[in-house]
Amino acid sequence: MNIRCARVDDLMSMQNANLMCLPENYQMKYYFYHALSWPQLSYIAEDHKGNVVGYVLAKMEEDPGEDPHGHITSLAVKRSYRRLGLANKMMDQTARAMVETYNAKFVSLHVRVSNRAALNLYKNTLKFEIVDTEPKYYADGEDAYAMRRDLAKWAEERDIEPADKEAYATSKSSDDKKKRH
Amino acid sequence: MVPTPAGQSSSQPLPVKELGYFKKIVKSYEQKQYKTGLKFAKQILSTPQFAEHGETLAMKGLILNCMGKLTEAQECVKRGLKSDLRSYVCWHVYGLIQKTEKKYDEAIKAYKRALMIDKDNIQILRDLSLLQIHIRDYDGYLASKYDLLRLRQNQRVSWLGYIVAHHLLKEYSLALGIIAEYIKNNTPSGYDFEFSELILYQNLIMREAGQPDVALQKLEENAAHIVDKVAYMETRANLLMDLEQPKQAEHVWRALIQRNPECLEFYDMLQTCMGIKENPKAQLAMLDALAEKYEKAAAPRRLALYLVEGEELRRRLHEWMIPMLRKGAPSLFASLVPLYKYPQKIAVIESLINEYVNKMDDEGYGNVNLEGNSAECEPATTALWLYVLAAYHYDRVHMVQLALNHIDRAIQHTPTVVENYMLKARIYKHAGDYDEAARWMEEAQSLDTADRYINGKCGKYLLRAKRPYEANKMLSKFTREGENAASHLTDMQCMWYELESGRSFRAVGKYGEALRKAHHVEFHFNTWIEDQFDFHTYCLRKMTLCYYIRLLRMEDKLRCADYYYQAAKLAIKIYLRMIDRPDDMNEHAAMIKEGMTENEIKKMKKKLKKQKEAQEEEEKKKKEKEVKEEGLQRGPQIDAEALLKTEDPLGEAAKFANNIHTFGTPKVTGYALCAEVYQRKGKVLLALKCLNEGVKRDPKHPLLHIQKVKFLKAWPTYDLTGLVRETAEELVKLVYGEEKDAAKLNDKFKIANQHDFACRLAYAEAETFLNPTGSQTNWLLKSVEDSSVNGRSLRMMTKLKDGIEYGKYGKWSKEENDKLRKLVVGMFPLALDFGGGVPKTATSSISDASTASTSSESK
Repeated sequence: MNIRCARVDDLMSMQNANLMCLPENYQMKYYFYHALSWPQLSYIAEDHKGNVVGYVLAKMEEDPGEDPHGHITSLAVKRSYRRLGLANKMMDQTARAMVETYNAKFVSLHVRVSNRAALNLYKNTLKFEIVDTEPKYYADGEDAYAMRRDLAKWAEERDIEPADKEAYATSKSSDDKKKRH
Repeated sequence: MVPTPAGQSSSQPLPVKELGYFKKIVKSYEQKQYKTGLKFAKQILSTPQFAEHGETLAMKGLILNCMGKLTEAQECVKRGLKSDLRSYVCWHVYGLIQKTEKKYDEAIKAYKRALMIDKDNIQILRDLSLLQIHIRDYDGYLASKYDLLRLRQNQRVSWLGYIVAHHLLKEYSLALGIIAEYIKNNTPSGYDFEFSELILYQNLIMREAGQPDVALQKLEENAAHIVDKVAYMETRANLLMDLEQPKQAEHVWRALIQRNPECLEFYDMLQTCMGIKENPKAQLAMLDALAEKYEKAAAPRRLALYLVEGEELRRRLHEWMIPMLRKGAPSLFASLVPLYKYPQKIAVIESLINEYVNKMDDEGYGNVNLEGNSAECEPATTALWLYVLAAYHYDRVHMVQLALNHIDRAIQHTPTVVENYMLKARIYKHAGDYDEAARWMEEAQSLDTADRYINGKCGKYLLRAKRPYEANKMLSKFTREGENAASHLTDMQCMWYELESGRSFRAVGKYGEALRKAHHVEFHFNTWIEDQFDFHTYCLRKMTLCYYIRLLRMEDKLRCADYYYQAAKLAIKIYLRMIDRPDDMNEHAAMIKEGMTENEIKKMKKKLKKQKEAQEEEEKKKKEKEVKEEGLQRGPQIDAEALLKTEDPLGEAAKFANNIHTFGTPKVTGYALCAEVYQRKGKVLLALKCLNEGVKRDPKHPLLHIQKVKFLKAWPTYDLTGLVRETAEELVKLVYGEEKDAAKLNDKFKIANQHDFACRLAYAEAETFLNPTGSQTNWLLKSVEDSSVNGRSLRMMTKLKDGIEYGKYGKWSKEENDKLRKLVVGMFPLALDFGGGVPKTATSSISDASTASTSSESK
């Protein structure tokens, strides 16, 4: 499968993949919003016909009180394309762009507490940690785990240069939130 | 949004008290306090002397418009404008309302009238510029952006808008001049995302201006500022290639591969740089070297499979497949699919799979090693994934029984793997037994009710089995609670659902519902075009200008997307059916024709009606709730019955055709379809243009051929004069060459394409059109049987059957239809539409299969 940064032209196919795989769906405008705000961060995996079989839809959280960090809005791989390592490979590309372009210290995401397959992927393959539980996060009332993956060390190990080296060395927020769990 | 009117321009100045109310209306509007706004409007309008106060009426209309009360809003705004033609507020609001109605030219005129009264009104200028860019009036956009810049020189957005306008007008040197000036005065000392984006935008303009050398120079100069590393490297590599420095470019592509070894474009460009595009040996060496370097990369290994044949392919496939079989990747087959384009490669895959399966069978899967050394046994699951692979393979090459055998073995091996039931369903679907397919997909669904992918597939299979209402029920497990699945999926712009359910409704003769789905797709595409409005200003602020330009260009060809073509095809064919076979639209008459008895019809109608009513009730409740809560109606309001009652089906078809041919489609069949619509409408030039576009894409396409024959027959009857005649004659020459006779054209086509089934169908249809009393039946039946004719797929057989029912191939007697059925079932025993399929009584029970013992040894 071909893995590359998502373009505006891919969004229709990406929306389709999302509707096939996940219960949380978005109208096209939300995809436009991602692609036009943080064009470097979303990645797709496509088959030989150009159909999107997996994607990462990602953004930056730009809260001035906190360290800059990325957020995975949505990630999915079609069932018939699992176990090829696509999610892992796409997430690494996304994470790298978060550091290089936006100075991200870490990347966060939410997952349904009942979704064991996804939880397993995030925890064991993608090295995310649970930092919090957000009650009734989903429209149907289910709780979400808030998860995080540290990027600073990851980037250092791979010689990935952050966008702003000086600022990257200093931290804005205390590590309180992280230690809660 | 609307500035408080100063009163000078209005011919109806308000006294202090009323002016106070008016200001409150404006404020309420801005804060979306619509009801409060209306209250204040009432305060003014209930005073008799201000009952027709223009600006108040305008504001009231604007608020009503936001509340979704469109007709009332229109009326109010028009009344307001009538009583105060000198108010810019009235004109501005009139423009806004026209915009809601998508009457953009009218809206632009209204804004311009407003600006004549108040020429430096920034809000109106902004609204005007938004519409101008939306309809791609670049000259107008530039003029408005110039005015905005004049009024707000200190704002960055003003400058950027002005630059973008010049760029879009291809006035590159002007755009570049201003950018250079801007960059000179605003270069940051450290990290600045927006500046990085601006540098890349400058570079885009330079490349489009044909200045790769300057572009490269500027890119290097500013390299330290660019934080979008992938864009930087890709741009650099492309520029180096443009400047014929392939060696340097090669380094960059290699660096990109190191970043992301799964991006196929990088490999392609690398080959170009190395000058080895025509040299498979060198390509293979390059791929092998990269495969060695990037151990975990799949791409270089997979790409190599396309380049080799015979023993070498066998060796590499072996290396590729064994680890995946051991790991248990249901996706192994997906990685092989591109190889199925080449018959020789298929043979190699098949022989390898058979070799593995035989080995398994001979040695027992508890003690086999597929690599030949018996030191270590395969894990127990290798057999499972091997059977799955074999089932996929035989499904792909249409050997249904072998496919079923293997998937049954896989299910027997491990009855808990959900994918296996999905695959079994898929095999039945491909074999034409949609009922059995749906049954197995429902089984798969029941094994993993938390997975939306399976749920969606299950819905799709039910739709294919012509059970649209049951499908909705299935799909509703993953849509908003207490809501009809269909309306939720429409809210979410779910294309696959609109199309599949549209086709499903068509299959059960519910043409109104089917049309409704096609119109939903039209609605979604319109929404996506409207979505641009939010980004014209946003991107100028965010500075993501390269991507903004891409958005504009993508939107300009949005309707080329396959989804749109599919929807248009669905709609056009139904509209044409309305004309050709009006009785079909009457469900009752259609069912009698299908051979159903009155009693059966009654029963079926009752059942469908009940299902439909239940759904409509739900939908109604939801709508009512929404209207109450939000004060507006969401989504498309399209009524199926009303669509069927159209007075002008051809005109409706032409609307879709117009969108296909003006926006362009890569599909030759799209042009064939448009040609048919235009010819029926008597639009000779448009029909010819579409035929010509079709010929450019695939001159021999069977569906295009039919339209060519139909048009050529009618050509001498057209009475054209002047320039139209000249243009038409030129096009006729392009499409037909020297051929002037429709019958001869058809005969030549028959001889040239006698070994192709689709072409035979096309010949027969055209021949029936030219000579309605002649019969094509025997020849077609012989074609079905004739093994020297290619492409006798189940899909084509279904087309033949549908065409016979439509009357495309003349009259067919019951005996002739029976014979066709028999022939097709002989070839495709599971084809439900021809009376085949799994015998209902003898169906193996699902529970039997899934409880079968896991430990059963092979042999």
